[in-house]
Amino acid sequence: MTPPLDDKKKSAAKAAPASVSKTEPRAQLAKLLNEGLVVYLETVSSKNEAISGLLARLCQGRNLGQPDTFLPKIMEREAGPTTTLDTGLAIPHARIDGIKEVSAILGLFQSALQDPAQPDLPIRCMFLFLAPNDPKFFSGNLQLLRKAAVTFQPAFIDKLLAAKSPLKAIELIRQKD
Amino acid sequence: MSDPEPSQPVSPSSSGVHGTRRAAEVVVVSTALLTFIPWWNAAAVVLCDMASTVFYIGGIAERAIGRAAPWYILAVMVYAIAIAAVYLESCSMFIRGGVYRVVKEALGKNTAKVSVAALMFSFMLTGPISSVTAGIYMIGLLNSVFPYLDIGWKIDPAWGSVVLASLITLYFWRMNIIGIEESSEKSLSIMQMMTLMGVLLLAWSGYTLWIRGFQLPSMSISLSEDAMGWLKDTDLLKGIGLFGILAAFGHSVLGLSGLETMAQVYREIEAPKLANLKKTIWAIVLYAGVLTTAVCFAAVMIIPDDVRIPQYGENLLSGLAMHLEGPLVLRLALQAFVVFCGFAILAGAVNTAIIGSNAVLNRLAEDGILTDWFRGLHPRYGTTHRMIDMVVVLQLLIILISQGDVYLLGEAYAFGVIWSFVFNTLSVVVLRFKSHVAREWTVPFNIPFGRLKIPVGLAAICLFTLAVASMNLFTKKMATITGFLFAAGFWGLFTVSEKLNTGRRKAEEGHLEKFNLRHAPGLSFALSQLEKPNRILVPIRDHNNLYHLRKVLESVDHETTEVVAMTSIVARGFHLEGEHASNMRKEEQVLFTNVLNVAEKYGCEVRPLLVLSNDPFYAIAQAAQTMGAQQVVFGASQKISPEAQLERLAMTWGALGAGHPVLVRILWDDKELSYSL
Repeated sequence: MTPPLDDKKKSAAKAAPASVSKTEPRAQLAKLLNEGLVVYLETVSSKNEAISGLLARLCQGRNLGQPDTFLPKIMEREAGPTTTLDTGLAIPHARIDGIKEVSAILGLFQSALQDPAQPDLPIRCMFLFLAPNDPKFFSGNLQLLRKAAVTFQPAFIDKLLAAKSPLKAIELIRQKD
Repeated sequence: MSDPEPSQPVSPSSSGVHGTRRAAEVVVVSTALLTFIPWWNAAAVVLCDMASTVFYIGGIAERAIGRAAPWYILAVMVYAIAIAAVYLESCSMFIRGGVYRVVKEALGKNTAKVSVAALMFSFMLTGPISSVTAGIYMIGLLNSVFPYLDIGWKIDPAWGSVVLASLITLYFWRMNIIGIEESSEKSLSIMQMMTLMGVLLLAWSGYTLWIRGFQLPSMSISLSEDAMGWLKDTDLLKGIGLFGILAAFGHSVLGLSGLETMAQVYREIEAPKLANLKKTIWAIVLYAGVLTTAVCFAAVMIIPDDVRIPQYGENLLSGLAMHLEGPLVLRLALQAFVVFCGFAILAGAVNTAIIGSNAVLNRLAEDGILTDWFRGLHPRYGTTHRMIDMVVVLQLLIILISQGDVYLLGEAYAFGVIWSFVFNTLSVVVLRFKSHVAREWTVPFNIPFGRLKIPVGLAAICLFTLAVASMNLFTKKMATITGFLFAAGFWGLFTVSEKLNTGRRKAEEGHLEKFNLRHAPGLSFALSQLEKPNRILVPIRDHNNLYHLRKVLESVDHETTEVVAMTSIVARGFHLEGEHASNMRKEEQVLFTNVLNVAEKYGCEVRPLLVLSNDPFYAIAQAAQTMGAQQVVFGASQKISPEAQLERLAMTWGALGAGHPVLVRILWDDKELSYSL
């Protein structure tokens, strides 16, 4: 449960510009990923376990430091409205102070995971990202969420799982971008 | 809506769960109360009653007070401006105004019941007097045309008019069951035709007077014995003293028939409401004033005294048409046109009386004075059909009892209307001191006195109205006797019904609107009625948090924009059967009642929608994509931060497919957060 809007949020909101979609840069998922940031996982069984595992890999791959710095933020966001969709995709994410750009990792699961908050929605694909906690970037954050949700549709997740190779997966995503 | 509907579940794939969050069931929430009309339609509805009096007031007033009648009719039309000003002030305080609400706030519920009982009496008579007059005009024309066609028939005007009046009443009963929008359009067409007739008749009368010369009628009153009522044996009405003037004015007050409907129609007027009401009022008083007064003067100056009342007392305009300067065939054609227009507008007055009484009864039902049974909505049209049925049955009964005697109906009339004006005006005076609610407009002539403003203008209107009403009690025997009987009957009905309702209503807070629920197979189907190019989706959940809906309605161009207020609930507690749904939960009923109140305040049409879904954000995204919304406007949630709201919508928007560009706004406390997706 997130408390009602505090003063900080209100002032941020007041400053937030009304933006028009045509002026927004198009998010390109493939550019955020590399071979080490697309992971096929066999052994994880829960959403939280997958988040921890993928975050550790992301921190290592992007030299972000200790995952424990970011995990509470992601879990705080997870406590809010669910990040799991009925397409088999989950998008755990957090806005982090001090980072300048988006860092993302893609997890693909041959055996579907369970989200304790949405037990009827199995997760087969997880796109986890950390974004700058800057009101100016919030629009980009929304575009990224939308883009990930548009891209990782059930049939495409099937394709990515069948590819079984991070490089092939990135190529498929690039084509989709 | 040619786009594929996002609400359709995607094809099953290996996970076997795709699409489980998509809304499959949609309930369209409807009520006739959510439609609004432009000011000219509102003016047409009121004028269909008020301007229709031109067809009978001249005859009735002259029979009562003599050749001076047009002067008093003119005075009544000027007085109409004062009464309209009082209504304007009361409407600026209460959207669902009218005499009941205003009197209740000022003088209490019991006095309000008395005032409404009196008003209902006038509504009960407005319909019959108009429809019977229409019948008399029509039969008068037929009887005068038959000889020229070698037809030997002569229809009895009394019973013939009873039959025609009944048919007219039944026709408008059907129209009102269907809904006000159709009825107000009909009223507008009638008024357009009426305008043509008025221009033609007055221009021709002007020509006739120019050819023949003219002398204005004398202002001296000649009260008939009937018109003196219980005062005929006193000296009070001898000569033109103050009492005589009040009595004569009281016999002409019939000209205000239908003015109260203005307060009832105010709820229906589209944005900007008060500005549009002012336009409505000016249209009404100018139109009715000029037409009624000028025609009455013309009739007295053109139709010879020996035939005016004896032959044309009940169809004065036919007499005027037949005594104009010109060839007989043209005069006959004009008479036919006058009768045609008269028939149409008088029939329209029946419609207005039904609309007005239905609205008054609705206010009573909302306040728990009439049992919920009366508020039951028509399953198809969403109108309060039981109230309409009751009104129409009573009007038919009065038509039958009157046996087509217009003078009798006219004499009985005025009681309700003048006493409802007394109560209304007195209440607005009282509210000046009792209620400090901000008024957008006040009756002028207010003299500052310390911290108070003495409402001199209002008080003068109130005293004059009270004086006329009191005089009418003694001079209009028929009105007083039947008025007391009828009003007592209505008051009894209200009191008994309220007692029956008391136990049932104790637990309820405020009134809840009744809504029709219609099961739609999908969002495309439910939203297929949208026609305007711009579309805004306003998700709603908390009945106390409709700030965002208010802000949208404040600024929206309602001519070009559809506003859909949508709530999403988990599909429990609903009974879906065929195309109908029932069992709306109280939470949703309160929510949509508040939506209706907001829509009424701004006079903007809002389309309510209830979607059964286990994820509100999917439902919102689906609805927005299906309707092609350019904007989705949220209120701030007490549970979720605005950022989390936006993020979840962005995810679900994408999950449904690429969608179209949309501006998402979150509004609270004069603040706004908006991003495009």
